[in-house]
Amino acid sequence: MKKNWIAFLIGILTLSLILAACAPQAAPTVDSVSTDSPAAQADLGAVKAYAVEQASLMKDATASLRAKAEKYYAALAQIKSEQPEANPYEVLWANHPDAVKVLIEGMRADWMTAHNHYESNEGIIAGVPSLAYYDAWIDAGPPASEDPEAVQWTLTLADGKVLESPGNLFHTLGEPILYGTVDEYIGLAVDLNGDGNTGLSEALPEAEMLLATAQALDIASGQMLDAVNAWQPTMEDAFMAMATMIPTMNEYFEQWKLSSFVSGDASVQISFVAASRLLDVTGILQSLDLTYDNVRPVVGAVDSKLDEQIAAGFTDLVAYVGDLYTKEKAGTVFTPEEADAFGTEAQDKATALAALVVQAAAKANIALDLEAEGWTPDSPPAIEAIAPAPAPIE
Amino acid sequence: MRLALISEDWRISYTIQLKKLRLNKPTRFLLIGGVISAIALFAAIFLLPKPQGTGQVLNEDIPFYSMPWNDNPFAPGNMQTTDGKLLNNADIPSAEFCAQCHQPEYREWISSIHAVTGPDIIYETAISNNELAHKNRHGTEKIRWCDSCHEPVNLLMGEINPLPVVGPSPVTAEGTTCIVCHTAVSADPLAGNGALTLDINNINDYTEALIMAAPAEHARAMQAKSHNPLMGSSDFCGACHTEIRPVEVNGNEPMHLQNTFEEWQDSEYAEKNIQCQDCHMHPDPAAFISQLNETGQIPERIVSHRFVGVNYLLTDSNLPSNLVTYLRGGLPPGGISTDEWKADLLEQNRLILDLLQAAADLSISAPESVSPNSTANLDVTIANSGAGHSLPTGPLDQRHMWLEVKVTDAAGKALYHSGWFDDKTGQVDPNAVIYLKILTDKNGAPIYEHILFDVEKYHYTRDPIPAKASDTIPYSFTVPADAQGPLKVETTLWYRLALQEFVIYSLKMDVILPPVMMEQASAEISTR
Repeated sequence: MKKNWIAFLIGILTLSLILAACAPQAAPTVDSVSTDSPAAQADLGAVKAYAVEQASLMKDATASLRAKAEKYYAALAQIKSEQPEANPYEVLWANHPDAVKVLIEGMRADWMTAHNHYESNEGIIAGVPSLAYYDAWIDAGPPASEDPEAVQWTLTLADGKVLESPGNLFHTLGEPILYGTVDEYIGLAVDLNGDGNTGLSEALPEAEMLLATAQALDIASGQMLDAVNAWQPTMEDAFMAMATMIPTMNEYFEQWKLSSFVSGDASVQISFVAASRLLDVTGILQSLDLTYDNVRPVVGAVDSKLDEQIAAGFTDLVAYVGDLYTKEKAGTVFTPEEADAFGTEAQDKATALAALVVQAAAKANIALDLEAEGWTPDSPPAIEAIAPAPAPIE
Repeated sequence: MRLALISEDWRISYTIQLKKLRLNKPTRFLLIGGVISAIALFAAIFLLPKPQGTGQVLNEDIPFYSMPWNDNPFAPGNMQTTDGKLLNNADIPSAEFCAQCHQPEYREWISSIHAVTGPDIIYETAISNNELAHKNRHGTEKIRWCDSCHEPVNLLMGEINPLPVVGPSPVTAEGTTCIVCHTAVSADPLAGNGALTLDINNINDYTEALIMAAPAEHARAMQAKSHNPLMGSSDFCGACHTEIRPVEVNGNEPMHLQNTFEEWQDSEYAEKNIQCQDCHMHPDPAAFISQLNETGQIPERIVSHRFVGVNYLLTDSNLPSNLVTYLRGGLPPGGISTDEWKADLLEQNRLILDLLQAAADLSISAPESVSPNSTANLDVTIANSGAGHSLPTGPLDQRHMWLEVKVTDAAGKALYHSGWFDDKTGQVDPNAVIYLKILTDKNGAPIYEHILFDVEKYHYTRDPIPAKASDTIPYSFTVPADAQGPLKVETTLWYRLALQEFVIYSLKMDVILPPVMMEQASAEISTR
């Protein structure tokens, strides 16, 4: 008899298990939302201090680059005055190869330093509407030949040639000029590294373009530093920067894939030869991560679980990209297919993180207005290069 | 076996009936427990209150969602959900999930174009160009018009928004995935632009165990044709194969851009009740057409999820350097090896080429003989003998068809050549008889990059040929004095998916987009 009831109970237990499996999932619990916004606990001052520090270091590097570019220009002007019939680049290279190498390596190092500090700041500069103008002008904007809505500005070379909206200073002008990836920006192709060939990035820069660009970059950096110093950061700025800049992974990974860092000699890009796009992504995430660290109390007060999710999302994404960059620096050359796969993975992580940040903004009653007009100058910048007096290189 | 459980003397009945089975007591009790379980289970399915759907509410679940025109989150597209809510990105069953039970259908679908309506590079590029063209003019929100059909899951979950308001879902890479069609409960084929209403936010009411326990209920929820005739109707297809640019996009009056449904509706195929699915979901559409034309009888409906159409490019896995993988936006979802996938694509490609060749007939009407130093006239007729809509159809600013006519003498010397294709530049003879829609912007400049947001006007270089109609094109050429007869007339009808300009300027690829042959005919003319 006992066996009978055991069997019966097994049958009923089966029913219970099936019903349990079929039961609707319990709705997830949600933290109660507090309407109190302890914005006072957030440290926006720390965000600004970071931005000012990076902008200052960038300005130091552009000033150094400018001084070297003027020295290079002056040396060529000296040769022109002494040997008007000669090719000044050939004369300079023939007579002072070591000094020229030092100068070019120094300018490239300055460009790299300035660029790195900018990238470490880009998440903030590009993401805050009142500062975003400088991102387009200095780092991201296309030339008018590619986009009719390009940043309007004029660059007048020392020889009087005028360039209308020629693109951004770092990648459309500075990098191709310093690394010789555009023929018209090359003064003379030379064997810079002494391997018997004149390969990629082995060229003396065209002096007029170099001088004007270096001076313009320094002026723009100075104006950006002034703007960052004058910036009064708000919670809206902080969340807007995170919401708009976190999801840009795809674009950077695509450019990384097409750059010489991944595509090697097959790359036809004139930019991203000096520094890997992974550096840019790392820098952007670094500034956004710091931003979130300083506004966490606001989110934590309304939804502690969400706050933890966002913090973990930043940690995960920063580690993911940082790991790739570390491997690349150690010599790993990724294939385009791998770059695609990594880009997709990073974008998924970024999309999830950005959505959480937007949710957090909503819960903390922080308005995000994409229609908000960004700051633009009253009139387009017009920069005229000033030629230094001729002087020998040594 | 009969269990008289409701009888007053059920103990006796039970004893008599079960004893006949010679089961021992524990087994009988186990059996009874099991039967009670089954009855209770089915009662639970139908009697327990239905769980709440998983739809997302704007401003509650999804903040900062931009709706510039009205309070319809899917505008300016026409897709809807039955409860008006958005889809929960964390809760969408993928095609791979469905494949656990529906492996054959999954394998068919995965090589179809429906599987890549969103992620394919050609679409992504066109979308980016349109969005960029309307930057700062709600370009992102306007993309909802396109994504209603191309990326319906992305649209429904709220991803098409200037701010990133929802997290990722692997299903967004699946284009027109299973649950989009299989939750459609109504369609408006004349409105188009994705005019489907989806009962999609309740599909997770049933767990996998319940699907197994009550497959009929699952079939009902998934709108099986036996429950929902819409699934087998052209109305369903028309919801996306009718494209009308809405006024919200650029302020102009609505502009009809694709009319494939109406073309079918006006054809004898509609009169004969031959639906889109009969042909395009047939395992071998070319065989379907052949059988239909030969017998006049509608072949038996056999359903395949390959949705064979005309995209011979995105199915050509013989393209070099994994180009097809790149063009399709990456490898498919899991559960299939790359080799299996490429083999499936090749089979799809074969079916597409067969279908293209079954769509049209060519005939030449030429004189029996011609005299040297005279003008010879001939007619070439293209008959739309197999398509249930106009030929060509679809986005005709890119897809085009043209006729090549070549006359040679007996020595092989070319006397006349119209409609040549330059395989070095990808250009077609500018004087060819070509079926193409020319889009122009407000300045009258042609638009070759599918920027539909900026189209002001359009015209056809030659009207598409309606179903069962034909188009006769006259040609004439001069017969040279020294022409050696007989003359040979060769005609070829070519089809091409896109303009070379799109490949160069939009895709920025150094690749020649090849045409495919639809039909050929030849004739001989003697010389006097």
